[in-house]
Amino acid sequence: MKDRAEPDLVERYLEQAVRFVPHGGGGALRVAATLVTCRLAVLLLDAMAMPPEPASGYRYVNVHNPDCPLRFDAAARRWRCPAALAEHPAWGINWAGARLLCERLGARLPTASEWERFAANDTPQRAYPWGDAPPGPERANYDEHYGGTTEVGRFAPTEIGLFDVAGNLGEWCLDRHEPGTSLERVVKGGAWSKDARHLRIATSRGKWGRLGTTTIGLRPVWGD
Amino acid sequence: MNVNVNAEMHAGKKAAPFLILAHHRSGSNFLNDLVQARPDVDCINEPFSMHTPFFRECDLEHWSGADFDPRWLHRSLVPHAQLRCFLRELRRHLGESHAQRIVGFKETGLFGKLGWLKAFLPGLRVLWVQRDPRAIVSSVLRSGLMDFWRYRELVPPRFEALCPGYRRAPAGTRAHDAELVAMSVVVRLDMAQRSLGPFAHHTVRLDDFALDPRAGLQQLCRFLGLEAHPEQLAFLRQRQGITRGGRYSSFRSHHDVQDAWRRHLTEAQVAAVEAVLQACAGPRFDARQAGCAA
Repeated sequence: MKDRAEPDLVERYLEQAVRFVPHGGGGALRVAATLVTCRLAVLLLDAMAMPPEPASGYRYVNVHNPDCPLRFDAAARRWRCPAALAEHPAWGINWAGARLLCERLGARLPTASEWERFAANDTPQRAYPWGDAPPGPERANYDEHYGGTTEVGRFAPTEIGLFDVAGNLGEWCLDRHEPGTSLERVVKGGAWSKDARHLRIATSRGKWGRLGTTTIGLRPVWGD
Repeated sequence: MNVNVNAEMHAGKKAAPFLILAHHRSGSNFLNDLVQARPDVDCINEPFSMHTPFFRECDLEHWSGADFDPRWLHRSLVPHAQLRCFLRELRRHLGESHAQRIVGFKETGLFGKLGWLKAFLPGLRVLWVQRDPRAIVSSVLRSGLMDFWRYRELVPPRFEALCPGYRRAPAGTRAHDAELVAMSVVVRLDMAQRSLGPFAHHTVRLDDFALDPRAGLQQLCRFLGLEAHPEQLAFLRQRQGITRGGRYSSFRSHHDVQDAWRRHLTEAQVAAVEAVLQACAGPRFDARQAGCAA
């Protein structure tokens, strides 16, 4: 990564990860303080020399959604995102793409159980990452209050320093939504267009992992 | 109301997947969010239109059931191995729909391919969303997406086949684009009327949810084999009460849904829309069925 543009961005992202030690069992984790931003996603895709997506489909990034912030610039042979969205969380990345980006960072996706523990700071009865107070647009980006994603770090972090755990984008988790044959993966955390119910720590939804959608991003974790 | 119950879909624990089929800007996002307001339903957003450009490029092209090929899916998909793989995986995913987890998708671009779709996904149930064509025209014109959907190239030949010799408004006038969108409404309505018969299907009018939200929701849920969920009623109360959010937001006050076209369309545009509907009126095309008593 050192020979690429903006190497400090990756270093900073790694340094800002939050150490989380679950009470009474489970391994310690470092959790990315923010969702992967568009700027970081572009950097990682370039670092992996990720080729353009096929003309009639995609493997990792849904570039066929006309609003997708991640684009391959064929002339420059590199990935790009609009400057105005650089600090917004990256969407349009499917579950396999999310795993790849994590691997590039030496990380992985969290399991749903890990996600719930760090979202609640290991307080199982907690309703939302900020506590039990009801949601509002000053706390999180949900329910179309902002009409789209917002830059990471806009809302107050959790007490351990995690941003956008509730709202902005949902977060791919490692697990299958249903055990067995399901192609759906667990998504946690609510999103800019989803209602307040999705902000609750206990709420999960399933999404076909093949899809890069407008409401799902990723937060890497590292086992300590 | 048009319900054609297919007994096989409710057999065992399997639950047939569903399709929310709608013209652009006629409420499919609202329906998508409404069905997903409950935790046991998932609806994929336009897997054919927003995850591949292929189906946008051949929108309104007619694919019949006889065109379905088990190996290649369709002859025009022969060069697109990645897309075929995506579609097969989609079919497998939809095939996992069951009574406790009903899976479906919404689409705006499959009107010409319903015959093929029936062969590709035989058990599919279809929720067909209809909205006042004047409201559709108004919303499409304001969306700025006519070029993305290629109306100028794709719609006129299909409309000409349906209504030969129709004299269009002069190019460059505001009525011209309104007329073009109205033609799209008519073409897609005709395609749906011709092709939906073999599917278990149910017609949903966007206005129904404003006029009597509970009754509209109960009919929708009954078609999916479900009871109305309290979260869905809360969704209707909340999202029909206020307008906010971006282009695809489902927060739209029912006044805006029903009446915004009156503010945004000129008299000439309304007249152009109604002229298109009248020109096609006949035994096969009923403008009132399109939600507009022109």
